[in-house]
Amino acid sequence: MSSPKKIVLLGHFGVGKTSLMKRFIDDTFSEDYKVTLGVQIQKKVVELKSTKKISLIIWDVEGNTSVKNTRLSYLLGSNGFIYVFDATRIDTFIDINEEIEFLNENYPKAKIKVIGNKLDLVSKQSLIDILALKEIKFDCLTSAKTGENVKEMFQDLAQDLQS
Amino acid sequence: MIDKLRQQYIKDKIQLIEISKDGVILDSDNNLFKLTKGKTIFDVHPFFESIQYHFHEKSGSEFTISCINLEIGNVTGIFDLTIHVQKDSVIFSIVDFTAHYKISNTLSQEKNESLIQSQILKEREEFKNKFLANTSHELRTPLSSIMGFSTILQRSNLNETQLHYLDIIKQSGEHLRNLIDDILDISKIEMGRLKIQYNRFDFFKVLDLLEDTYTLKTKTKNIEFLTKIDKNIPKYLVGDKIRLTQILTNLLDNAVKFTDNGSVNLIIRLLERKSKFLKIEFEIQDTGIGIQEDKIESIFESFTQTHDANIYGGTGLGLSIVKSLINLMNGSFTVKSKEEEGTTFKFILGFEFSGNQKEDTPLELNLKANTEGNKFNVLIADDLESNQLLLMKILADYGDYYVDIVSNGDQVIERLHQNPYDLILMDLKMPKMDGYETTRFIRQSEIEELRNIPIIALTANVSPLEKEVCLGIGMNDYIAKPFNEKELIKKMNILLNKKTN
Repeated sequence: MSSPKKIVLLGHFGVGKTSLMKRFIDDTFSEDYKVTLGVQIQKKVVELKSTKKISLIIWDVEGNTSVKNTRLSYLLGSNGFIYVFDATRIDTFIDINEEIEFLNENYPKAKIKVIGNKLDLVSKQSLIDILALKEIKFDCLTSAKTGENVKEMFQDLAQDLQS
Repeated sequence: MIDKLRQQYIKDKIQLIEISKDGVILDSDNNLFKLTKGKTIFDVHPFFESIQYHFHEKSGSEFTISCINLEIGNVTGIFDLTIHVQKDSVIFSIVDFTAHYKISNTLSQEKNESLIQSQILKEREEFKNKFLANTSHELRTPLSSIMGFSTILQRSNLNETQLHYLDIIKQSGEHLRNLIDDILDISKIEMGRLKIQYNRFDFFKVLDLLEDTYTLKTKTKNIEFLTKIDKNIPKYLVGDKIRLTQILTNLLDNAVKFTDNGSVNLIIRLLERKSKFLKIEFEIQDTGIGIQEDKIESIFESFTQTHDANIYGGTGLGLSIVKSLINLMNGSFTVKSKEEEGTTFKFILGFEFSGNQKEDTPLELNLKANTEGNKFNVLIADDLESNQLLLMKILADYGDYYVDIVSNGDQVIERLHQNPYDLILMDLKMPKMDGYETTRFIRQSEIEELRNIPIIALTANVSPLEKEVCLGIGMNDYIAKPFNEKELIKKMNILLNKKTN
């Protein structure tokens, strides 16, 4: 097994970063919103298509309206970022292109996934239309509540980190 | 004593751990967590595995990571950790800040919850607003055809019965338009986007129009319409003429609707005049079916109908709009009603006396273009065939215009380069290139004649900002659908005559 990969979950508060991690690690979900203070770290071994295994160490960091305000010590040494937005709150994705540009400039080697969460609460097509209208590029739409696309999204990132 | 205090307050809060560069625990004071020498730190918590890259930094370097949630053995808490890189080893100093961070946790939880809630509410409001604007647009487009073609049909050779039926169609169309306007208004009021416009207006002209309308309406119901207007009220006032008319229309409509015998009375009194400020009381009395005492309070709520909607119709928005408009104009109102005897609505509004009481010279309705024998070339840009046909028919009936029709902005640009046009009637929502983009393109043209061509926006989108946007991008005027054909011709001719002169 190759060396573990550090993945950081980023995005505004209340977008479902902790819920995504819980769904991925323990396959559980809670409707209650509990603010994350600082960072929570969990690990999961993922099997890749090549049957190789990879260890993902996921840093679920406290929500922030801008990546620039996130503690630098949380971002250093990251192999990948998952930028999560809330599909029901436009304020959480309106500036996403700038956020991703910032990450690309400062962490050029890290792989980045842009995720729209809470898909269970919106019409998928309307959301896609809004994102197209606002010219927002995203990789995947997920629901931590139903589990839709959660495992696949982490798996996809793990695959990218291996290649 | 110091040692005792240190033991009590510091020792239990700080742990020092030394590990080798490959993560083997060399030493630990185990003040917070119990660690075993010789074991690897990476098995203690995955956090340590993910900070390995720091272990090989230059000797003497220090890195602090704050606010880390850790669960090690049976100890859970929030810690700050500093990594001290040594030549052959790495030392961690871990400080327990759980109590400190827990305090800010409560504050953050409350702050975030309230922010999330307000963002969600904002989104819902915006969704509702967009939905209503869109629905209004979709309803107005076919309504525009119904109203427009009815007017054209009225001029054709119809017998009396056919004219009567046509009148019913037109009245129903008007009614439908009023309902759409009501729904949009209540939405604007709820969002705080309805603004009162203060302008000089002819107070008695407003009342004359109402008198004409309600004399006719009451006549068809065989009831009387009586007005008593205080002659001390100045002719020209400063206030919102449109919203005043809306309030009076809503109240008079209700009075007529619920009265089958007797009369509807409109009484207007000047209550007070201080310097240039006037207080005017409006009283609308009817001898209709009245309202049950316990239901009077609820009649001003949105979507509330005290009487059977199947018999009397309506959306239940009229009085809610009336109440909101009176409030927005800083006025007051009262209602008195007795079942089977009738209802009296009274409201008081403030106005300003206009310094200019000079009679306005009535603007001549300019329905004749100054063609000097030549017809004007008008380009109609609209993607809907029914709209194209309606506009073509209206312009053909007036006889002063040559008309070309296109369906989108690309075709507008193409035609403008082929033929000279005097004016463009531009729909805003068109496929390929819409009306906004087309206008911007024309206004940036290098050809002066194109740049200056008059453009009138014709749109079923009646959001408050729409007119501003249209004029802002360089359109010369704006007409909302369904439109009045005389208003269209008048606006066109003002621009065309200006161009000729």
